[in-house]
Amino acid sequence: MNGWMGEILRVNLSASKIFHQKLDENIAKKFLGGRGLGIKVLYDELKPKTNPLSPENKIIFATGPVTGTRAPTSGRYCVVSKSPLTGTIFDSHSGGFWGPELKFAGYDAIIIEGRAEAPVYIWINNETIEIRDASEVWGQDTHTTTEKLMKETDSNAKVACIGPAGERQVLLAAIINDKHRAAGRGGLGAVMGSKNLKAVVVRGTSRVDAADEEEFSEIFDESLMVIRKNPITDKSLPTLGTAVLVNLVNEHGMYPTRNFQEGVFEDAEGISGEKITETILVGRRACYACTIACGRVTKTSEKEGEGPEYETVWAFSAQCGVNDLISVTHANYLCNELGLDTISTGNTIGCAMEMSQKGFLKEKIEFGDAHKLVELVKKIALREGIGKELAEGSKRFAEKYGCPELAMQVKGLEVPAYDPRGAQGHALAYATSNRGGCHLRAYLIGPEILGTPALVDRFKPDGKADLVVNFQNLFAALDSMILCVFTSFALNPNHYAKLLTTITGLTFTDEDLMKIGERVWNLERLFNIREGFGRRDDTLSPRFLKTPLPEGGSRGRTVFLDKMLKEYYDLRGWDSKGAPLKSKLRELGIS
Amino acid sequence: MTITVKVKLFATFREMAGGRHEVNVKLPKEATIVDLIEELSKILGEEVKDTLLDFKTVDLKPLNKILINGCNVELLQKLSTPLKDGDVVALFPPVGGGQ
Repeated sequence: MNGWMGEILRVNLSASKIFHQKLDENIAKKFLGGRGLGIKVLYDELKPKTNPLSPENKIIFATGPVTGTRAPTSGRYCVVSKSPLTGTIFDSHSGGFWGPELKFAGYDAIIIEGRAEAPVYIWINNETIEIRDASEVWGQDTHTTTEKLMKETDSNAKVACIGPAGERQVLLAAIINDKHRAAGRGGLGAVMGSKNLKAVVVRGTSRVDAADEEEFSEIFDESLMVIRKNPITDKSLPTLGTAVLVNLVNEHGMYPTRNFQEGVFEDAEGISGEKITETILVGRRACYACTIACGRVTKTSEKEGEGPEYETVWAFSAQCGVNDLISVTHANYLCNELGLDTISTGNTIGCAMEMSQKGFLKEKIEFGDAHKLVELVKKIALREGIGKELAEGSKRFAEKYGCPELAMQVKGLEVPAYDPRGAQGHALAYATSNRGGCHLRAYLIGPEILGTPALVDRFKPDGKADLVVNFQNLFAALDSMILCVFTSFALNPNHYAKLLTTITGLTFTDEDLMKIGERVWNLERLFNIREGFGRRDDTLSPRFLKTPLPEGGSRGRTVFLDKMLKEYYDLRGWDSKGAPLKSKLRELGIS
Repeated sequence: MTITVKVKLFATFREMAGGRHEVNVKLPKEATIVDLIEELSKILGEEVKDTLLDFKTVDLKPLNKILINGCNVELLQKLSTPLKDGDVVALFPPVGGGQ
């Protein structure tokens, strides 16, 4: 079996011990790697109802069989744990160069357990593994930490670390690698913080070869050609970045504005991808083995950094009613440096602004106040003042002040930059997501807005359950190989199956790949059911179900969830409570 | 009788329009999207038509988007969709992304 390195590291921080274990070939075949491998380990090893911030929780850094090969966009890794924000199983992904480096060091994954007595970092230098004192970098931001740890270890080492937010166990804390890339969602940075783990630093010098280099080169060339011929992956993403969508989504009247009270942001133009390109963009940055290069290197009169991307632009502008691109960019830089998820942070601040507007808060936090926005980002990361409460996320914050309906979340995870009332399928994707309010479990914006692979009527619920199931299965498989979901604008499951086959030397058809995705999805569901989640959690904030959008291209719309949800459960082979039937589990080989 | 339609231009359509973000277009009363594209090509150049239309299939090229008041014309009557006075039409080249 090529592709996989065949070895997993297990680090117990309580005992300060490092173990090497072989990758189970059967698990690799059934779950591939990345998300699939991580959730399988967590399902098997984590006791139900484990406190996510206790030493008993585990955090797994995983790569897939495709990671570190030449395959386009194969630079990703994922972090899997039980989320302190949602209480669900959670996988959070990031690009950059850290993932491939772990493979080059000889490992498919690291399982981290326990809690260190004092701050530490893990240093993996090929076969030499050390748990080292991190007191010098504890309290430092992610950029300083990265620089210091590279100096202390190896100038070519790759660093994934937490900032002050993770150290303080802020439930919106991210893990940052290569300074600007984030495994952002779900508060997994807080899990690292709870373990006194500041960073995982990796240096590897081997390589990942394909089983059949000749055949692999053929499918590699073909995939690259398809990506280069596709107008989205060849032109729009490289030139205008992900924020090119700001104007498009706004014109559809589903660009969430002032905590989802409206769907049209009057100042969208000033924070759009076009505007970013005209004003603050100084360069593009690609992750490992990527020709798309959607990353934005930007500069303001005060600072230089990366971003903002589509989601971040929204979280700090329309969601908070702020029209100043420079403040939005600075809020983004701060999140990277302090280690925060931009989506959940901006969404939570927007929620607080509406609570203040409606009189639920004594503190005045007004929509449009750019100065306050930047100040609150810092306060959340440092748990200072009202930041201490905001650090718990929008759901807990709004519940505490008696207005849970003002939190725009699913299963406790803040919803991102597409108002579900403007796209019925995307609404179902949010509601059924195993990790809560997320656009990357199933990206129905593809068919409903962008017309990829084919345009469908965004306001009709018919046929959406089938599309959601297919996207969820495909993305679960991609997250397990691992390849960037942006390739799905150009490539199809057949390309993915061929890449996987030629790299591993095993045979995978496109159906096999979709089946693996379905297996991953169902095992995640079983984990969540074991934690007490069920039908009642597959829902949306009441605003999306009851209050029509007031203006714009989606005016008058709400979500028809019940009808789609029933169809979805049927298609999934689940009972009316949303639990997988025994026959489905047998079919998928899950006992 | 004529009608006036406001056309909003995005991404690469702005380059074709010399940096302009929108243009107002006068059209005869019974005009459709295809008439609008013809008229826009007269104002902004043939590149608009070349970008939007597939001359072999006499249809819109895939992934380009024409919205009338937020609704994609692909889901209306495509190129034959009639226009009304005061309509806001948005033109987008193929775009994607969203992280």
